[in-house]
Amino acid sequence: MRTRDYFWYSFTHLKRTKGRSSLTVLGVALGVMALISIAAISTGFSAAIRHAMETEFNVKTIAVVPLFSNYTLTTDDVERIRRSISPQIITPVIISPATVIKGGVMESALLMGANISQVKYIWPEFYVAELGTLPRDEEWNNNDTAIVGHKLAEKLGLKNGDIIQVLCTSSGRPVVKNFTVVAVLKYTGMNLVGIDVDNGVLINVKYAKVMVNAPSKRDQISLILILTDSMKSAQYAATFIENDIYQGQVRAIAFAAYARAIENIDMLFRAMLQAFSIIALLIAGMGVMNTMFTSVRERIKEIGTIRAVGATRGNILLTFLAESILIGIFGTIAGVFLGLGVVYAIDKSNLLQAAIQLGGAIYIEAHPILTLKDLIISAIVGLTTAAIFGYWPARAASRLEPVVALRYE
Amino acid sequence: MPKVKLEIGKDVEVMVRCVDVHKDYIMGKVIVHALRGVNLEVRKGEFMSILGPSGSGKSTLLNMIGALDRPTKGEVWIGDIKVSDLDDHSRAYIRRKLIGFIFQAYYLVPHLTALQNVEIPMMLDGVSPSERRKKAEELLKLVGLGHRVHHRPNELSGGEQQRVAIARALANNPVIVLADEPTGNLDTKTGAMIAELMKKINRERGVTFIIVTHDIELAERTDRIVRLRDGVVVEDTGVKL
Repeated sequence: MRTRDYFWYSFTHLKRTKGRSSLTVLGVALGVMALISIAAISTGFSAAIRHAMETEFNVKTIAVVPLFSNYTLTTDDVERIRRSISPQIITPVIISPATVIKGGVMESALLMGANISQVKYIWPEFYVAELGTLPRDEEWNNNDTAIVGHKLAEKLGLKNGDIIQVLCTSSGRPVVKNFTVVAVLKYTGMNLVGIDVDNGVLINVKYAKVMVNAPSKRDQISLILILTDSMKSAQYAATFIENDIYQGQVRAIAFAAYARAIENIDMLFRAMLQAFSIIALLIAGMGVMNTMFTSVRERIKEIGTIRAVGATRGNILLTFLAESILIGIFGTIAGVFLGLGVVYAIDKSNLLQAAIQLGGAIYIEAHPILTLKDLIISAIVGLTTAAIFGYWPARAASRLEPVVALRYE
Repeated sequence: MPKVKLEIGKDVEVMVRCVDVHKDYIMGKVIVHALRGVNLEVRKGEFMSILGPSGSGKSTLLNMIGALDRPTKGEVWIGDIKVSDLDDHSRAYIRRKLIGFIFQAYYLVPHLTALQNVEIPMMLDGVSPSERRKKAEELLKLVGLGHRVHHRPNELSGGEQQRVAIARALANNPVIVLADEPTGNLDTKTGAMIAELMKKINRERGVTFIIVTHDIELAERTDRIVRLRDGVVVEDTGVKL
């Protein structure tokens, strides 16, 4: 029997049972539609999360902090790491609890000493001025220039040009110094490795050293920020710094770890959605199986007749299988169009918005992304499901003995 | 194509030979002996009938001859091929190539037209669509249904449906046509027409006809009557000259 004849024969039967066949086709179509739209949604979400990770968290960054209190980082460590791993940027940071006073009002804050141009390069999204302008390098070298975080500025009513007093302790002795606010930062919602930017007052690292450190320990720093060229390098360099350079005395935090955490969430999300689409397909498959078993039951006499006039078991198996494949083909074609429609509608409706809170908040506005690969896979899976679920009824039909089938009432 | 040789020899004179054919059915705890040692020879080109009351085993015998079923004991030969020993696939081949079936209830495929029904055996045999269509049209003309080719079974009368079934039985040029109560569902007049049609085909084409019936009138239209009772041959008139 020719291949086209199997399909022709099955098609004539499908035409005769239009109502039932259409419902089964619709079942497959909905399964394929679910696959396509879910693939597009999860791909869109993944892309949005990855983009957010790269732009906001900067997954290429490492922060090195001492692991034990008896080990202290100094500016020598900056050179040591620079020589070992040749990063794009490496910069020391000093952080210390402080009190900021303005017009007799005092607020707890975090004093941060850093090289502004380098920190800006590492975390460009965090250093955006709300008021005033961020200082250029020569201005930053002035010993009274300060930038304040959004929350601190709000509490003290600070604006650019204001003079503030910063009070901190150095070896138990209070140190007070006046600074001029040149800029107020936009709200970041960020607090990573103890750097609470929104409650911070940011000054040049060399003046922070003088304020915070005892005269004998002027070179002491709190942490070292490093920018590498990729997320992979960051992870590799972090391990290298921790294990090979410092033998476990420091902790090198790769922000990629945060990215991984979010990727895990993303994977979980994808797995969940895929489970939904598998359920949808299983339901569609059961529909095909049910329809085909009904078809076999109704056509037992026909099977007997065809067997009597010379059909082999294989002919019967392939005839019924061809019918499920046809249902699969029609369902898949309809499902692809429905899926494209759903993806288009989701894209236009801006339904995919979410916020992920991890240290800071990442706001994600995703758009579904439908790749040709996902489209093809969905179509193949839809078609295969129909064929697989149609196999058992086809096999049952092929196993009928012709004499028994002809006698069936 | 099966591996064993399934072509019938050209010089074959005995078209069907049953040698001590037994068929037992197990019905619950009871064994029913449907055939109890049938011996029968049918020569090439015969137009014969197997006559017997209901339950005599005539349809069972027809199923054995038609390679639809296997005997519990004994041998069934079609020409020089021992069909009782063949596997399922080879028996399907024998049915397709050598045998045509006509059933009491016609058994046409309801979703196909008369033409398409006649095409089925040829379709199973891999004949091209154009060739089988041409052949099916010829056969439908032969049975007097040239004007009803595109009608579905539910649009045809019983007599017409049986004529389509006869055309289908002839599709692959079989050497034997087996008819199981072919007039059982028809009125007397239509039944007589069908019997005449079968006889005409037998005469013109030399196809061997074995008709199973309990209708004495139909049996008397054939050249030879074999009476079956309780699974054994009780009378064989031999070919009337």
